[in-house]
Amino acid sequence: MAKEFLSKKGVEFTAYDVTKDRDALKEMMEVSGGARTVPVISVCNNVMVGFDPDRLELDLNCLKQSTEI
Amino acid sequence: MEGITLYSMGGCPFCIKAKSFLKEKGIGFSEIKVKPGSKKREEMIEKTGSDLPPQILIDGEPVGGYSELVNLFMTRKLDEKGGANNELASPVLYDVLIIGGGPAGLNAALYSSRKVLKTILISNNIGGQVADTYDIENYLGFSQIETADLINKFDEHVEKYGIEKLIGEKVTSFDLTGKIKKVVTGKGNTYYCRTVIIATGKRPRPLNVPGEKELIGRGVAYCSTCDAPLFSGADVAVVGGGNSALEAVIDLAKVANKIFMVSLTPLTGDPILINKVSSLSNVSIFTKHDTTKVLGDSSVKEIEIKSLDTREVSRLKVEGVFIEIGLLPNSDIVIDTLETNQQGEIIIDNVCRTGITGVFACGDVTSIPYKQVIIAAGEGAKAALSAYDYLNKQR
Repeated sequence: MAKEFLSKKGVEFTAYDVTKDRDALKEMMEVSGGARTVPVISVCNNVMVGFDPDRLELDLNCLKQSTEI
Repeated sequence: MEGITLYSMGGCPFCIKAKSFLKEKGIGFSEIKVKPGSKKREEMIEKTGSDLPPQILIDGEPVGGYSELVNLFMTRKLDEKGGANNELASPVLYDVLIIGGGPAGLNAALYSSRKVLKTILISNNIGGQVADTYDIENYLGFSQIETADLINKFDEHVEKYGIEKLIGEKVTSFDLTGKIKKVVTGKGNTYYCRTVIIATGKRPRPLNVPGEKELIGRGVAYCSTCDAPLFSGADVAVVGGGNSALEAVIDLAKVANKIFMVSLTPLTGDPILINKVSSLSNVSIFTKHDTTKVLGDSSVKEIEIKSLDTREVSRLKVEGVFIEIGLLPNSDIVIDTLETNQQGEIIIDNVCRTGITGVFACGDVTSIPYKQVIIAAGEGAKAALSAYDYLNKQR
């Protein structure tokens, strides 16, 4: 659902399969302060645990601003 | 008499509703208060032919009570009658509003849209509890199907009829009395409908011990099918002794290092599953043990368990704890309004009616026995057909 949302918005992203990639799991737990659930989405240093479309929409604004500058 | 006149009486709930409805919509009205035996009451009866307040007149013409008022508004006839003229203030009136997007809700949506009823479905997600299992082997027509595929098929089938769906919204309050029902979501949107079908399903029962809530998603998990792969190579605990706990142990045994199974009672699941779990070399079983604490700072580090026989307290070092101790019905929002049983399930009759007319319930949130995907789907169909019958009798 989160992947679909980002694709529809035309946002490029990298997906890590933390069930197969131990390093990615470790990194995910570090950046999210211990989260062991999916998805964890990081946009411009904002980390969201779970998928909240409204919040993600807001978080994505930082991408718009940086390209405008 | 020009404009809207409302005859009201003190202590009459529908009078209050009618007044607040008009105020909410920005429609001006003049109020005439009546008392038993008063002249104004005689006047009301004379003008409207009814002795039941509220009675509403538009330009001197009686239109009925609260329900009729809302109905006029929904069908935009109130505009023509010179009341409201605000386009935006005229929302849609749905025939059927379904809360819940699992098999019961989706099938209710399918059946009601095939009956050409104006339908809307509001749900947190699509699939409900089905999404918490990996595959299904007992849905007629599918000897084995991954749940993601089954949910897609359900959704595509419903989509074919183009019903309105609001996914990711939560219903936070409603007013189910009266012919026109009002449903409000967490985002503050209000929907009006003639019938409501509640198909909100169940959710995992929490342990209610210190540390559990704080560490949800940080090692505390309720769905082994979803989260087991995140614990590959780790030591984990499973709390519970029934089928879902045993299945969680079997799921985890494939990926985790060591599994501690902690049950308050002797294992109560199916013998075939108990035998399987007993044969697994990386599983330690603690029966007659209470789980009393989940410990950890940013993620789970340990759990505390207590023997019921010896009262001895011990700790198990684990990175994860799967809580599999049954399910609770998602009936919190209606617990004060509708009749529920001891488990909190909504009591329905054999055509999915609740105690309030025009309000139906179906699937796992109800008192029907045997919680199964196919039963929930069938109950959804029944609820929609029952709503259809009710609407036909209303018209």
